[in-house]
Amino acid sequence: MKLFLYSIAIPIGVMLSPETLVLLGNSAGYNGALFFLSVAIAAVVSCMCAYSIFYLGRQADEGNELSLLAKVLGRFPAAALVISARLSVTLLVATSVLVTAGFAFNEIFVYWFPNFGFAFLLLGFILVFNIIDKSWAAKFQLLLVSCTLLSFSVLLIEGLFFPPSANITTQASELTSLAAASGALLLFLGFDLIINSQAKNKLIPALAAICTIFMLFILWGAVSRAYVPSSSLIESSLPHLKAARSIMGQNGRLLMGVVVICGATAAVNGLFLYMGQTASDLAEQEIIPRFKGEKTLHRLAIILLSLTIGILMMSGLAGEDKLTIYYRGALVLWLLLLSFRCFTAAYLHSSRKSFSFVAVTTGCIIGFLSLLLVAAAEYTREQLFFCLQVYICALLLMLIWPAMVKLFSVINRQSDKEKYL
Amino acid sequence: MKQLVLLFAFMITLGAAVNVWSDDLIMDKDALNAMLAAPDLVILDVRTGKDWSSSEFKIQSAVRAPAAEYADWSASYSKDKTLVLYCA
Repeated sequence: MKLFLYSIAIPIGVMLSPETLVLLGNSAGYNGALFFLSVAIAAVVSCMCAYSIFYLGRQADEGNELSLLAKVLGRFPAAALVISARLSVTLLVATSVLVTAGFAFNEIFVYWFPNFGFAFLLLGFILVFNIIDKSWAAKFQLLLVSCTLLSFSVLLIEGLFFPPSANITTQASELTSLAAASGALLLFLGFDLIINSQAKNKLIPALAAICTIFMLFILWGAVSRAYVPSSSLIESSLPHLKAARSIMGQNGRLLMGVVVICGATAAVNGLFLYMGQTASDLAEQEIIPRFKGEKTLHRLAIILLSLTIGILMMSGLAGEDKLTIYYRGALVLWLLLLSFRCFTAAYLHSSRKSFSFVAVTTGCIIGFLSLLLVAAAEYTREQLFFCLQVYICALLLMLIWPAMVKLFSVINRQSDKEKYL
Repeated sequence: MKQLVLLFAFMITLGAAVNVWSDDLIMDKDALNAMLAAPDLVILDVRTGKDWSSSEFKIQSAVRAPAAEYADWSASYSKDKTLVLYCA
């Protein structure tokens, strides 16, 4: 049970990030039936994807995400895909949600405390927990997710059982296209972030996380629609805060503040924990050195990530509109990674036709929807360029890095020989 | 030594001048509140990205005017208007 809770804490933490709440709130403003349908379809596709990558993947081989992808794509293209998707998402999501948490703290709790100061403080906390030990970070994750879920549930219960006294005029705004509906798939991104050491069977925690989030999001969508006019939900940059304030007034604001701050911290801590796993996978594939064991590698990865996020925040990236373009691009890379993982599972398990059919279908759906998201985006060219740029950079890095490691080891050996001579 | 004293005096004068100048240009929320009814007042919200979208507080009559596009929007306001730029 304990392991199960630890293993679902990362996906739920990432799925409850403030960015997801904004997307959910905006989507809830659209035509009711289509909103609920698109969220339900996205949940089903996510379940199919979890089934493909965890059940089929596990049946084919006990390997990790990178080793399975490497069997089909080759070691370096697979590593580049994993790195480009995971690293870009971690860096951009962290930069974005930490700044959001900083604003929430400054505007909801302590007016005199600088928002950037709080964002850095949160980053520092996450860094310290991860450096002390991975198990501390996992416990911290569980605490954060519990706080987020508890606050969110109080708001939901209040909203469901004490409906608004006045009827909110809800104008039906049609979901404009399939692309807008496909955005619902982004709500469930994170279900695949289950760490090897926490769960042998990854399928059950992944499905549990998707079902929990599906229930919460459907209910929150319904409550938001009941309390806030649709047009206001669609246009708002903080629809969740608007809904919380309508439900419980100032107390609702405070509770949503807790959801935003704990959710943001859980999302970053969860992504950090998973990046530690990715670093181990890369070391296992001998793409990066092992650095005196898994713990040292995890610490090193977290320090480098924190430094980069700190630099990104200080550079003012959060204050620029292009962060949203990059962020969306990173999510598309994540969807493409999931799509490739489905294809890989199908390829490795081609002997069982019915199973591989599910995986291929899911891979095609996710691949198609991710391309649709790029095509429908406001800045299609920039987003596409970002995705290509990140993948090519990761591929070049993957090709150059082992050569550099070899070169350094040869130089070291030669200098050692010269010393002895 | 004399040069150092002169340089120091110059820097203090410059610092004081900048301070007086900036004090004249910066206003607090109470001062803005008192001006809100003025017909020639234009409040420009120059925040972009997360600075704008993550903030719950937005002045109702404010017009969004990204700082990076200053050259574009600055010419559209006549000189008799009082422009208040809001950035945090």
